[in-house]
Amino acid sequence: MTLYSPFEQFQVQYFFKNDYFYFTDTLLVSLFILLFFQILYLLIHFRDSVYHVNMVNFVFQKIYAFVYDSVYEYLSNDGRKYFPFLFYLFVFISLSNLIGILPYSFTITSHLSITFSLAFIAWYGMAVGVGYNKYGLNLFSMFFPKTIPFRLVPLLVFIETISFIFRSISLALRLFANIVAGHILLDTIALVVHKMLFPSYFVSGKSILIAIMPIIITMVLVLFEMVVAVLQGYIFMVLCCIYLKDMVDLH
Amino acid sequence: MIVEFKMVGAGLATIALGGVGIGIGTIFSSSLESTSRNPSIVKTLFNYAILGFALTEAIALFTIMIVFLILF
Repeated sequence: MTLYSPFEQFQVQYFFKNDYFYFTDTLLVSLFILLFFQILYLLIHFRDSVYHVNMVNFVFQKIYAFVYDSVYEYLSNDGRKYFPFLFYLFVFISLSNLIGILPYSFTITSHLSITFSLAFIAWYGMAVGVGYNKYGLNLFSMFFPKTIPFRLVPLLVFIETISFIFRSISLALRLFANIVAGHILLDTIALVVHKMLFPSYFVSGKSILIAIMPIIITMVLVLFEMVVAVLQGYIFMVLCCIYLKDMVDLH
Repeated sequence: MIVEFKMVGAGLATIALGGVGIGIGTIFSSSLESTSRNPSIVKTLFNYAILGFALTEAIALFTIMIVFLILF
């Protein structure tokens, strides 16, 4: 297989197609995550006693406690009932990013269609499902700052509205850009290693010695990408918490 | 002609990374400073520092998006 460019990894390929749908690798990875969750819930259910828990149970408890702490730190009592959504959001994004780091795998969050759907679901659900249901048309009072001179009001209302709408786009674009940039970086350095180790005309001990440096850098970068993968899920969740707090408390 | 200037433009667009570097440096330096003033809240401060770091890094990645838009 020849390597053309670092962008080759983002191509969506299909395994088989029907008259009605394409079975793409995006769908495969999503199904895998869904299956993973089902197995996880099964494994959590099986435990010997209160004191003897299995490893999956322990790790899941730690993740749960981590998300619980972060959500309960940001939200007041009324917003805390949305914890399951935020928890699933965190685990889904982190997991899909981590699956993408595996070699020969596919990152579903490196496509704007996926990240923008996630961000728009969160944003729209917060604006209409939470804010509008609770406050009705009074929701628009959040665009109106009260302690400023009246002359500045039209400008500030305009800016607030723009920033409110831009929230959904920035959520999606942040996740997308982080993942794409990280993967392109990894792929570029991997291509450098590949070209150093396997030139078409010679392989010598010297070229292998030189290629050790990029290999070490690649390993460090893979670790960094794993941190970024979980961090992006965390950021997405925390920003959703902050936006949700705006909606629930209305400033 | 236009291809070469596209390259030049893409290179120039990465100047914005300097500002992001300053921003990330400021975040961690102030985080370190506040931690040394009050070491008991190191966990909270670290969480906020990581949040700020990720938000600032995202700005850097918007630059990369612009570079790709120019190049391709």
